[in-house]
Amino acid sequence: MTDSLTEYYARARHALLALSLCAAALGLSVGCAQHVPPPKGAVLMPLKRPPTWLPEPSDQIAAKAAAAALANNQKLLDEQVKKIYKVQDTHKGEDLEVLTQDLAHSTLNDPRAYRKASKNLTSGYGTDPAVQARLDLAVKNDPLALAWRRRLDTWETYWARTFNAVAKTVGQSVLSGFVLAPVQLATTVGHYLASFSNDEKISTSGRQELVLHKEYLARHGNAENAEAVQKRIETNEKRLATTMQKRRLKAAKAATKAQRHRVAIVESKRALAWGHHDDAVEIKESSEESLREQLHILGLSLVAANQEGFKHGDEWDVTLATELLLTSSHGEVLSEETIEVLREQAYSDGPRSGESLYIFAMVQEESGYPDQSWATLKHLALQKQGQTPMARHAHHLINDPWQNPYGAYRSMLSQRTAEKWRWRVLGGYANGTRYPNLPRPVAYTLEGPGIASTVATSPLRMVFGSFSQEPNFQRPAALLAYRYLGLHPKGEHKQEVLHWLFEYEEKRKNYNAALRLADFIPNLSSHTRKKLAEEASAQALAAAQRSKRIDRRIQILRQASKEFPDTESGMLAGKQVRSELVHSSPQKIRMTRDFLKQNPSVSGDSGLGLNPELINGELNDGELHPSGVSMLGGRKIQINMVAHGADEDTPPHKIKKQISQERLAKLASSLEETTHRNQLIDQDDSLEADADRDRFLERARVGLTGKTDHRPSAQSTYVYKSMRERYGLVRGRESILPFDLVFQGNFQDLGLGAFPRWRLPEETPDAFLYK
Amino acid sequence: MMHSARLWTAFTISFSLILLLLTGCKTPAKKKVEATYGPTESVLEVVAVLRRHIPDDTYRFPPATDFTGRNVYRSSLLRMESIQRIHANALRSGYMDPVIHFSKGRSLERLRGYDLAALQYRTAEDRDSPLKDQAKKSARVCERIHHAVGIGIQSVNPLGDDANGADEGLHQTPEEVTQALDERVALLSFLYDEEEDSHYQYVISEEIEHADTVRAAWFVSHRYQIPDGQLRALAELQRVVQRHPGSKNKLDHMLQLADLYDDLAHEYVDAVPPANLDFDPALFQDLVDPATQIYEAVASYDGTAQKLEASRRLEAFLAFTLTVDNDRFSH
Repeated sequence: MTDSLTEYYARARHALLALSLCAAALGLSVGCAQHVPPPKGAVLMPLKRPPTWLPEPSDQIAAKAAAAALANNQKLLDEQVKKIYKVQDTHKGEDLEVLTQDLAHSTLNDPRAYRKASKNLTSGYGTDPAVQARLDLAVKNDPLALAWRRRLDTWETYWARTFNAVAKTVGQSVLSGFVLAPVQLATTVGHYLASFSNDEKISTSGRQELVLHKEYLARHGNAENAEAVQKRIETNEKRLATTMQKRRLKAAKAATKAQRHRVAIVESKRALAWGHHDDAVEIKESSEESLREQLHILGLSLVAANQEGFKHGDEWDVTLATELLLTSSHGEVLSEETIEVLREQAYSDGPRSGESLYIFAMVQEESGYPDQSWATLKHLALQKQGQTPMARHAHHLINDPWQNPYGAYRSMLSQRTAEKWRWRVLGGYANGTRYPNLPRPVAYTLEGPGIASTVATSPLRMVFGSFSQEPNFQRPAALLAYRYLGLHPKGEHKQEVLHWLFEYEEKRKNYNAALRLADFIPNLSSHTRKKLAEEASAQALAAAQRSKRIDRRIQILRQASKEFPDTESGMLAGKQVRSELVHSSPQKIRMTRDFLKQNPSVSGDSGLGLNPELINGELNDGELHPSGVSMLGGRKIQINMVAHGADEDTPPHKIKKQISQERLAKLASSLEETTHRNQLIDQDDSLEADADRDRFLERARVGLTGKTDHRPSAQSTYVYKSMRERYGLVRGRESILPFDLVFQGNFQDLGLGAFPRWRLPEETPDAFLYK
Repeated sequence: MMHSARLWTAFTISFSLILLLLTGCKTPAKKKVEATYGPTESVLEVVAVLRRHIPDDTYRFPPATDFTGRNVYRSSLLRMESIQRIHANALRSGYMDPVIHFSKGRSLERLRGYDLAALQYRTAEDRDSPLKDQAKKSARVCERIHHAVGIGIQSVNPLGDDANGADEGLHQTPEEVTQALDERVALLSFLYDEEEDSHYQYVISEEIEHADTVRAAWFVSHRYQIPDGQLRALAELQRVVQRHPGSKNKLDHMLQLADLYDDLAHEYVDAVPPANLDFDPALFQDLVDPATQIYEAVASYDGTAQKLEASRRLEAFLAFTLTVDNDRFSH
């Protein structure tokens, strides 16, 4: 026991000794890299006066080289470049040679020569990653090479389609033991061939290629390959013209079909702008003829003299017209006697039946019987045009959504409900097949199995679909319902429409609108109303938090606290208004603790000059809170510290300081240079665009922050984060394989299979400018 | 037992030494990533990037951008200022002064800051360096451009504090405006001929184009105050389109012309609603057709932001004409 104890103590001593040695070693290593710790308690290190720096020969030669490059003095530049390679001194960094060489290349006036020289320069070992990245970008920025890349994209798209068709068929056939192979093969071949019907003559990548080739010719018109490029341009331009003409013709044909002749004329003209096309000319001429005809017919409707068959006026008509006009201003009802005559004439086969019916319907409406009035008008509308000219007026009233909003609402409701069910049953096939350019019978034959399986699986989709958001089918009906309430606030169908709208708004989680409607619904339980108020105020609070501008945020919060003072979120909004006002600052540009740790040039002497103890991970000697340091505008900064006795998860203890102009300028400059370099080296470390941040830093650098800009629109809330904070421990990387492995089963072709699927080439960020 | 303990201690010490070595010597890759340039390398990098784009034809092609998408001249200027702050101590000896001032001058002249560019060149000229003669020449050119662009009316910032007072063309006649701007263009044209084969030709071309657009803008904003103002404004915008077919701003000029037709169509409909008996469909069509054609032409230029602008405006304009159509059948 004693032996074992002695042994235990000896081991412990040795362990302690080893640990202390470890600690000493670590301390030594860290000590080599850091400056002497600052006085305890100081958050920012005093600005140090750096030791005298005098240029050495390498600096002088480089300066001369830069001057020679700017002065176009090639001879002097070449001499300096040679000297740089020979000179050795303490200032000469290992990248100076490559930078000077690049400087010499930059004087090459032909960009192609520069790219070639840069390519050779980057092929050496040990080039600085920043220079390497910059030169790589320059080499890649070759219009001809980019055009070739886009052409490859076009080919890769076709290749991917072919590969996927073959791989899918083989993969599914293998798993099904080749029993269903003939069916699968036939389906795949059919869809593969049909998919080409959706292709345009020139793809987006083809259009990008065309533009890049044009740019190349504009810049290097006398290049040796100019003729070949010009030929390619001509081919692609023809394809583009055909594509655009097809698009316009399609729109023109659709407009013609919908009897929208004016639109058809415009679209056919747009098609003709891309060159002559017989179809476009025909559509244009026929549409112009149809429009003329339509205008002629419409013009006839105004010519009273042509109504030969309806000459039956007498003194009673004059009396009726006078009474109608006299009562029109104040909405008075016609006399009992007139109404009686009208009723008699309306339902007889006499010459005045049409006019009488129309006026009788108006009287019904004004007397508070709108439904009966619409029934009368429907009866009138059913009459033939030859019987009475009033039929068309009745027809127009019934179909005008402004005159008959309730009718339009009901009609839209059933129309959209039918559409919803069509979507639920037919899924993606609700609006037709995937091959609109193929003849319909061919397209439907191909899609037949797909449509059948979609219909068969619709109950399953409805069950699972109830958990997800459906498209908003009833939006147009809701618009008409609101219109009805606006036009007829005391209308007969007010409650019905209100209830429908209430449910609609509640379903789409627009609680604010639902609450407004609830105020007009009698007998709504107070519990429901309270719940709605809570939801609406929470929605307003969430909207405020989404808003980046402080003035808008405060406006929303204030509105929420005023409108919903008796809800939890309303009270919270009120408190937040106060908090926003107390803690408001012209700027809120923040650097997190991890960012400062990751970029010592920003946190250290060359930047902010932060006490290194604050980011050493030790809570006991004072530690910066993970939220870091904020620039508040002017020369003010806020240093967020972990509060005494608390941990990093608790809110920070805030220290506000006014720093010197020199320190602010250094911070802004180091921030700019460091992030510039980081972006160059690592494309994932890119800065999001923020004009207000850039403006503040630019002004801070040259000492123009004396006059603080209090405009809310000038405030930046940008946060500089470390890579780990942005992407987590492991950054998601794209697979190096050009395809994904897919396991798929479907009812469409009764297939179950595992197969590789070739990924389509990714669109460039500017692809939307080529659609 | 003691022997094993000693061994363990020795192992721990060795391990600590290895750890010390490892922490003391960074891998080359890490060192590269963390490497920060000294003052000379930093300036050299900016100058190399800037120098490559000095001969660029910024009249025909948009100014180059750096990898962050910023205008390369602006970016070079800002980076040069950052470097001056970060390496203030090292650069105090002045060995890079001519290079820095000259580079700033080259950047500023592409940002239309001719007076500031001239100042930078004059400072560079004062130092003994290979840039002395070039700086002297560039300072003179920038001063002449600055003098020329000061002649005649200037573009007015509509949101500036002195927006009302700054419009010096407010009480001028069209003749006075065109005369002054013609003088500006003539001076610039002389300078253009003198600066053969130099990048200043592009800068001067941009200024001539600017003078033409300022002139057209004056006629557009004063079209209600001058005789035949609408026609004159249209003619001036057409003049800009015709005089600068090779400019990078060609599509903007076309859009401005289409916009004026668009505005005129709207103003006509506001003044004479389609239901009004005075509405003249033929006159309206004369405004609709050119606007549609020009918008369509601009919308066909792939890869430009103006393409989107034109196609959306065309859609909006066509929607407007369709609403007008409803009442036109009476004619």
